[in-house]
Amino acid sequence: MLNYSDELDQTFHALADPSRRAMLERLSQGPASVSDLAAPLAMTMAAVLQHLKVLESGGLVRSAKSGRVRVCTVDAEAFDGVQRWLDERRRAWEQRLDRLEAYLAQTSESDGKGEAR
Amino acid sequence: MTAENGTFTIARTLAAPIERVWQAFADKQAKQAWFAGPPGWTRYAHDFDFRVGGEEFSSVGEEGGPRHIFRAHFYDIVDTERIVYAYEMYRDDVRMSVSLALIELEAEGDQTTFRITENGIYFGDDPDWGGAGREEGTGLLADALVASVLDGDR
Repeated sequence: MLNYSDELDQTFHALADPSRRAMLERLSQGPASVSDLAAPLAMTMAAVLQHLKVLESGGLVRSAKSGRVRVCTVDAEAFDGVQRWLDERRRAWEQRLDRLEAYLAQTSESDGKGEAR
Repeated sequence: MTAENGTFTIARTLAAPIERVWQAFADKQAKQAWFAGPPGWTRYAHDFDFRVGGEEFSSVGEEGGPRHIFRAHFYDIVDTERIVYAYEMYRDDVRMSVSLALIELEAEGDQTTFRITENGIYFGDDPDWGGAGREEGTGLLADALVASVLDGDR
């Protein structure tokens, strides 16, 4: 299972390309077939499909075959309030734990008594 | 206001024996060294009554910004083992969420495994997140995502 940082990396990677952002903006207006997404882009279909895969791995887009047509939609969960809140709570803990680790390391050095109590 | 429920869990191995890790949770001074807002934030208040039936109150924030308030009630405390508490978060007077949390510690030789499991109800419409829920057709979804990730830490 991906940890949180990997998921975030994948999302940022997905956003870090102008063609993918263009595809995302098109999808924000409503679902589209892969052909619709490809039309304004000056690249091969293979390249479009590769970009789509990156967007899906980034959790931003979902796609499903409908007959012979692949239909793409924006993944609302990526922008969903509760998901962002959860991410924030998780992030807050990761930061606290980083500081806790630093504190434990610091106090270990200055404490000559070792761990005996 | 909407209300939605969510859960997360985090586990981490800490390079310290369990008694010292526990102290960092049980002792007010030790806790303040790490249980804080991001660097630069002011701590306005911290009350800490660490016992079953006791409460914790923390208020932090940026200069000129809203108060981020944390209020917890301790339901179960087992020395060097676990803490069960419920907490609310407020931004100034507005309650943002209510949650239930379980912290567990386990000794692994010289090290300690820390785990937190939280389940909470989030009341939604955080103004810092641009009020966006599922807004579509704006072409700004990517901007909203980036903004929420780069949002100040709480």
